[in-house]
Amino acid sequence: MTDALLSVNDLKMHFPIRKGILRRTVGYVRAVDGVSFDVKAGETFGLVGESGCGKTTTGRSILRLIEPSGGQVFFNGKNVTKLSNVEMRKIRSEMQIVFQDPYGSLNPRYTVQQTLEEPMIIHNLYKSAAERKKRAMELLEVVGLSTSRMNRYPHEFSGGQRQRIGIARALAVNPKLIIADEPVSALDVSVQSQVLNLLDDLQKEFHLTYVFIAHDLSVVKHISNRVGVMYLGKMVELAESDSLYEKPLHPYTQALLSAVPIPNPEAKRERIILQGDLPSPANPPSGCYFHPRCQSCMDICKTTAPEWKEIEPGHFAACHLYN
Amino acid sequence: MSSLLEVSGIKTSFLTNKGYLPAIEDVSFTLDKGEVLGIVGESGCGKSVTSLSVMQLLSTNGKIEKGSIRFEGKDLVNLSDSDMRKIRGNEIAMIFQEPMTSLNPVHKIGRQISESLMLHKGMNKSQARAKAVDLLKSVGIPRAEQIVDEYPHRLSGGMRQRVMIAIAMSCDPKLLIADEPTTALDVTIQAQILDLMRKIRKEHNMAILLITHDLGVVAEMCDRVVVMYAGKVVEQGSVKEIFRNPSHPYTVGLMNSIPKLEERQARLPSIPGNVPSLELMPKGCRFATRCEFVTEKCIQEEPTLLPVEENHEARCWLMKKEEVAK
Amino acid sequence: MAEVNMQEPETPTKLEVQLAYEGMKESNKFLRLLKAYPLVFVGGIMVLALVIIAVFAAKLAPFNPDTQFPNGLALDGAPLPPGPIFRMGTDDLGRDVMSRVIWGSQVSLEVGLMASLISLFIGTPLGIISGYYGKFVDTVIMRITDVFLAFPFILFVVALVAVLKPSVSNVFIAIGVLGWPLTARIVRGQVLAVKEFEYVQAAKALGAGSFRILFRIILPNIMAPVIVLTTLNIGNNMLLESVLSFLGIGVQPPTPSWGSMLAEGQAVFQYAPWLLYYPGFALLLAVLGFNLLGDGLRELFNPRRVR
Repeated sequence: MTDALLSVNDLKMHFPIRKGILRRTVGYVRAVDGVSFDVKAGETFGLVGESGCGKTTTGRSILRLIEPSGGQVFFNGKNVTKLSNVEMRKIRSEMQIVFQDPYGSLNPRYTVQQTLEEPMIIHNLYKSAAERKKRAMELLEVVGLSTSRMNRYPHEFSGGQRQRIGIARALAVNPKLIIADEPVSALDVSVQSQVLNLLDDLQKEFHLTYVFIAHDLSVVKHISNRVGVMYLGKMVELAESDSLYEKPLHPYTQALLSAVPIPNPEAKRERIILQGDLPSPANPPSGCYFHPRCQSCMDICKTTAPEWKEIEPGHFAACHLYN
Repeated sequence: MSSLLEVSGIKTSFLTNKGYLPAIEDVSFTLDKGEVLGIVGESGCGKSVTSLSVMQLLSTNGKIEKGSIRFEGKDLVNLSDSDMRKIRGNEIAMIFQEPMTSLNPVHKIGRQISESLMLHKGMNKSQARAKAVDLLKSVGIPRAEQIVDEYPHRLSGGMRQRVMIAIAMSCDPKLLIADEPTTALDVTIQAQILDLMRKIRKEHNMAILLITHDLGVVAEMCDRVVVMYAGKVVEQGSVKEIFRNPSHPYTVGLMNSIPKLEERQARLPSIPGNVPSLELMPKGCRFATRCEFVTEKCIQEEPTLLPVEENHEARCWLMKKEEVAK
Repeated sequence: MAEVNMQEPETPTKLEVQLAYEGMKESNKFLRLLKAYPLVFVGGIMVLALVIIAVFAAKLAPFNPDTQFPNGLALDGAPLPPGPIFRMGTDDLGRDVMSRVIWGSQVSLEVGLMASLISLFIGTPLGIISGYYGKFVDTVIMRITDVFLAFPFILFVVALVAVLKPSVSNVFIAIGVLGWPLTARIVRGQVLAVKEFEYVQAAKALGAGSFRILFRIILPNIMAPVIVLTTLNIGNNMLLESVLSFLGIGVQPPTPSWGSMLAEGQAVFQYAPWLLYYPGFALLLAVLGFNLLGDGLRELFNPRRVR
């Protein structure tokens, strides 16, 4: 393979819909439907999309927190989807996750110290309790929290501070890759910027690779080198962050970008307002999934799914407009 | 000309283990007919408490201790429950953040809209139903004749928020209070809802009090803005002035910390620290603990709202020019 | 314009120092808790009193509960009303009611406690497994609980006791074995809720095994409702014991039990009502104590409580 640290190939996650007493499968929710992308070591890869587009499911199936129903995930050359439970548990120390909800992602019955030491205990990283404690204190300093509050419980911290604890926990096992699943969307803007800066600093310091999942386009743009846009379980566009935002190709990306409210009352711009709602992933439209809401819909879009193509160097999209 | 809504010096407190603690203090603003006023601030700044105080919908452990809220000259604070009920939903309507929980799941959409029509407008059942269909059409709901007989769970979040707006509009209110109306929605749906609110406001010349944490939404929707921090108004003025010349260090910090779509920044400026808690408010300026321009005076004495330009004021000692010169 | 950009935003501010100071002078914490959760204290004191009476029954009871005192009956053979010697009167065999009520607390408490523990120890693991693994395992365990819950209680105990012979231990086994499905269902519900929390996902992402997730992470987080349920169960099971003893299939004479005392007293209720009053009242207080304690604990454990 190339220099990719993480390589996702045709990843699929279909949840069965069961009905009746016999719980027969009557259909599938195609939460993720054939997603492929590479993440280079040291870069931040952003995944954006609206709720229900499958970005969170993608993140979790990469880590096999849910078992993907198809496709492969290569991490450091190893096919993660084929690993046994024991091997998987070992490799987990190299791929970590930071969650959205700073309230639900920390065990309320563990002190900060216990939370940080747990991963070390699981992976047998340090021999003595004293070493673990020392490491926990280091981690707290790294994420900018005072070590004096190590014996406090999560509820005694603010949302931003909890998110820092969650990040410290992920760092405890010295991972190479961190999947950050909406890590700042539950935070207030002033705190959000603190956490974004922290993630930035940590990446430089520890040579981390991020998959940054979010619905907020400005946040994703700020932090990512490359960005993938998802719609209804499929990747519709993927490009360098700057080129995606300057010259979006897919009509969905264009609409998404134009919908973001700009904090400048004097800015004038063209706005594309999409009609209708996101269709259900259990019953997606024919052809291109986006065609019922697309402003540039052609006849071919209704019948044939567009191909995933490199339209400009490093800029991929799936749209018939560029055929 | 007298304003539609005139809030002056209200203080709302909540009963806690440590007695009554004020959630908002000395909050004043006015809202003219047909105007959109944004109240912006981060969680815990008191923006929702302000809107609930106007609606007189505080939970039982909360009370308005001081100040007056005049709506068309009537003081809502001293109004009896039954008089307030006549105003609520009829002259002042409200929509909330969570379209999932603000509709009653066991009643059909049509019935939930007709209810207030029958209550406030004295319509009979069939009139109310016909009006309900009209309202659903006016908020852009397709197949309104069928949707009227559906239950809320059949609708998406965006559709539910449209239904909430239809209910709010049912009695043609003079004022709509929208508490984070698009926070739970996706951006493309948010754009639809904001568009709808703009259209309705123009058609009905209705005033909107928009509560939000999103400066982008404020910039697009509002005529004037009130910025709140830790229970107090820290800055207010017209949207253009506030965005062109933000004057309170908090407002400045807030605006700087949003990542911008149009440009690339190496590093986001951020405001250090956290909002002080209710029981431990600093005695001077409430932002003093996080402010980079803090002086001894800020710690000792709380500033009042001081003029910046015409119709633009900020609660900061920096606005007193001679203080800066010193 | 101002670039608010300070590193190390988490250095303790004046505010935090003040907070830490506030924390230190929490000497009156006990009083505050008492004020906030009076139920826990009232219930707790009642339960504590019951436990003391049961443990020190031999010391507290004025007489042997089984001794049939010749002077315990009136000349016409009727039981004696409460008086200076027999302070709660005597029963129709001339035994001291007060001593029997005191000794009866042992049976009640033993059955209540042991039956609840049996339910707890069968129900909790099954509930956890059912909730965590779901699918087939869940279906099987839940259908078994359905069968148990559908069983007529009295019929089951009658059958069981008929096989095992009535005794205190068989009574609590019967009650406990029949009570576990309820515990299992409540535990399962809690597990279903807790396992959705991201900290469980986080542990999985860190490589924690199932055992660790189940017993180190999920179990401590569902303990609060389980403790409440068990406390309430103790009261309930004490009532069930008295029902069984009242029907004569529970604790056998001459062992004093509140239920059997009620049964014996029923025949002579017309002219010796104290035979019903005292054991009945004791049962009422004991069950009330556990229920108050359970409700109080529920409030105490409520995470949304005002701190």
